[in-house]
Amino acid sequence: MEANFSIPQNGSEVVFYDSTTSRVICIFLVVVLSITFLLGVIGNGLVIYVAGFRMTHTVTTICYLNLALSDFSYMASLPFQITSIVMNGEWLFGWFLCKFVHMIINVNLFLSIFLITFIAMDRCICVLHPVWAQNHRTVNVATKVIFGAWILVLMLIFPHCIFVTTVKDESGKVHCICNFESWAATPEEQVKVSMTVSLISVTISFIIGFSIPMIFIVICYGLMAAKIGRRGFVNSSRPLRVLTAVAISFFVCWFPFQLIFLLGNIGNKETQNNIDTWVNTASTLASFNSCLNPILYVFLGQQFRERLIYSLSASLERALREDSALNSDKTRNLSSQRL
Amino acid sequence: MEANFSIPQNGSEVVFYDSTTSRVICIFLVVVLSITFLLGVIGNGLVIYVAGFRMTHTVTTICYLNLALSDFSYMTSLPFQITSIVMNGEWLFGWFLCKFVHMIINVNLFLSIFLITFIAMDRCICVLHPVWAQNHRTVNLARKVILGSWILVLMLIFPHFFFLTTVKDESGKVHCICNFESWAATPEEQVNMSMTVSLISVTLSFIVGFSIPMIFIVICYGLMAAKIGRRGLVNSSRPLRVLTAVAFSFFVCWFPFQLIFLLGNIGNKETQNNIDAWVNPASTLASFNSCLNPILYVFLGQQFRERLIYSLSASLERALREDSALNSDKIRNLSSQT
Repeated sequence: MEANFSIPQNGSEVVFYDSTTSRVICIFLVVVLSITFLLGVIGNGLVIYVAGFRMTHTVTTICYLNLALSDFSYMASLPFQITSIVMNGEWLFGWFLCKFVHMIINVNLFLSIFLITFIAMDRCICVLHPVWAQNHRTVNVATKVIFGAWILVLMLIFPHCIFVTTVKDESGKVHCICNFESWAATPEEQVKVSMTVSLISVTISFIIGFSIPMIFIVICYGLMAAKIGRRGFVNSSRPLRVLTAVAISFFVCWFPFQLIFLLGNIGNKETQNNIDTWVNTASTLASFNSCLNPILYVFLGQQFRERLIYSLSASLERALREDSALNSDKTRNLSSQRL
Repeated sequence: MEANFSIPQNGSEVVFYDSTTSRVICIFLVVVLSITFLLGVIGNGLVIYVAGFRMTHTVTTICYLNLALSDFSYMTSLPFQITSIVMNGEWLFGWFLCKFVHMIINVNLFLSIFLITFIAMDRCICVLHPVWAQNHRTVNLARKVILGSWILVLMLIFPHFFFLTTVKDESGKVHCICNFESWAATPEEQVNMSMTVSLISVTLSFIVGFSIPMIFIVICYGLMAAKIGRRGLVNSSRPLRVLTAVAFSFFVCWFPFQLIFLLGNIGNKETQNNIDAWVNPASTLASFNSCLNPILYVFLGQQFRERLIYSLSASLERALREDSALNSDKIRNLSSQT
């Protein structure tokens, strides 16, 4: 998350972290991120295994596979983010990982929404133009579109990747932040470049990485609703439910983050100070989205919920019941042996 | 855990918590305790539901039910412990909860091992004296023994409970620690009394709360092994596997804690300073034991493991496959309509 590595407020950072409330919030965030990491690695790993190796490749499985790959790579960045939070923003992992981790974070930011948009558009085409879809909708086309999405994402994050580097502060601690020393001569110019780049970056993120895709998704749903009809839409098949759940969870998790970042760069000084306290919290919620999809896939199936609950309950009963049953049997056997 | 609320080293606490390593360890412990809390509430709650409401009450189910109740009550104390760790040992919850939370912690410490010992002895009697067991082993008798265990536990923790209270330090922060001001006149006498009570408490915990029960358990296993024979023991039925896993996990989780506390009170000053750094990790490991039992019950069953893995895999396949299958069907339907 960009939030975790933004330019530190010189001097005020120490005060911020020493306060009790901030300390509690910091630890709470670390706990949530750790749980996100565990669930995300297991869940996305399972999806990659199932969609990548056990199922026939179709347009849909390829999309979800790439989504899981993106989320899984994001999970790989979480330990670094957690360590950085614990170390009050200090970066221990060197120059290369500084750039690489930020690249992963931003790839996930853009690619997730692009893939969800593509899935929605794909489904919309199948509903509105089934004949055309049957003739032209192929795995190869999907592969090319997804490949194009990856390239577009890399282009979008390239500027940020250039500017992010390791910088030593006054006390000799190393931080992973945007640095413009080699791009401007005077501190005054550096501040201007910093503000300009930050504004452009946030605007691109909000517009291209959130608003436009969300608009596309809403339009697709509108068209599908008009075609299928209200009742059919509500009782839609499972694939549409899966997509709906994924899209809604993406919106819920990412909207606070995008909004806070936008306001943090557009608003006045007072607004920015108030918003700073919410940045890490919003980032953590956004991170949670990356481990949510596999859980949604699984729990949207009624059968799995019922079967899991029954299995847990039955397994516990078996663990405790066999004690009694086998105990009785054993007692009887031993009695007969004695006699 | 007693460790979290022991008498703070005046002045050095700030230094301890400000260091980076300690900060990292502190956060790691909070993460582990939080996960323990989640797993423990869910797992033990499920055991209480199954053993308490869905199964016929037998000697064994009553024992495991009480074990789950003890662990579940311990889970309710974890949020307070976590908050206290985060607040550098400060206690925000007042005098009553100070005593009550510590009571719960110590009840779990003693009752868990007593129940496991009772289960082991019960199984041993069934193996060695099956006729006697069939005639005299009843649910009512088990209830009486367990009730006796609870009473014995309450007696054992009473002294600690008595001295525990909230105390303000120099900077006005409130801590939940043993206080002897109302029992001794001078600071010197207070220190002497503190050391004496601490030594008695730790010794009692190590001997009555760990060593003697473990010895009983080992003896029971020895007797059962002699009776059943080596191969039979290895290929023993599931009930013995469950008991073995529970007893073994108890030993693994609690032995470091008990040993560290014993050494911390018996060793010299240098030893104590080295050991202080290990107190919280050992306490966290001991806490983890309380959420481990339900996991052991479930995963010892081969069927559940296979069924769970299959269900997860199949459910994911279904979530992703129906997209393709239904999609094809839908296209065909729409084509025919067109």
